[in-house]
Amino acid sequence: MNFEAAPLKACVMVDNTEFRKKIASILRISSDKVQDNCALTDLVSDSFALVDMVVELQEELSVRLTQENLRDVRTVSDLWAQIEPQLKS
Amino acid sequence: MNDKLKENEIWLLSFYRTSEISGALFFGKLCKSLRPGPIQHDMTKHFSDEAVHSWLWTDCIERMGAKPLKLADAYQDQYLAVAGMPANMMEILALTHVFEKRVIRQYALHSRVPELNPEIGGTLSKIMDDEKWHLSWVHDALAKMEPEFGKEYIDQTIKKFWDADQEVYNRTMNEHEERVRDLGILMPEAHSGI
Repeated sequence: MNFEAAPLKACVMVDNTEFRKKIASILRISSDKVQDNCALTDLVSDSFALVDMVVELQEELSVRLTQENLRDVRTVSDLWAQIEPQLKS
Repeated sequence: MNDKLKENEIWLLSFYRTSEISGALFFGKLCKSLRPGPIQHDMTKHFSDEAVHSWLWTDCIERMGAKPLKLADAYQDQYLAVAGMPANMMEILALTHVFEKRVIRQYALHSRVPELNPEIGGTLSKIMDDEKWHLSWVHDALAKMEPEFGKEYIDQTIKKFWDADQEVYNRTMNEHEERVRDLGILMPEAHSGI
């Protein structure tokens, strides 16, 4: 994310299905594997890959997450719950 | 040098090597996700430096007549378990700032070992200059994020990762105390700042 210039670009509008497709695309896995109840840690090879995926997702959707947002995130739907409100704002 | 000492030395250099490889891979992947800009520019040099450092340690070990050990985990692998996952670029850079300080401190401690093998001393010296630049660009990038995140929040984030680093460092040193003590690398006091 290019933070030097400060504000984020306008959020990209996606629905839950497109969101899961984006995750699949970033991780280069079949979109069938990315279901709402999937644990995020089961989709990546290690924790650093998860960091990388979350950052790239924010890039793609022009949203921002913090550690606090991710504290209780375990599944794809948990992550969607943190991102969706920013897409609507 | 006796065999045990040499074995410990090769283990430590392999530990450095593994850590540099992990850094290069993480930042390399991250660079693919970033939009063009100053952070992408500097992070690209950063990961290329880390890759070169892993080569320098590989070469150093081989010049000493040994082979690098295949180690499962790098130092920074333990960060996420202790500190939690950084979620955005500011948090990643805050964690990197802490880690780079730790690296510089560890390499400086190692470079002061009496009768240090010149191969190791030369490698440490080459790497240290790059590490100082890493700290510098990350510091500058965090300063530029202050209008967006606030200096206080950035400082709090760095402090949180500092505390985590202290825990990881103490744990690592305790786990490998014998090796490190044998090499004459003095452990800093448990709660000293970095």
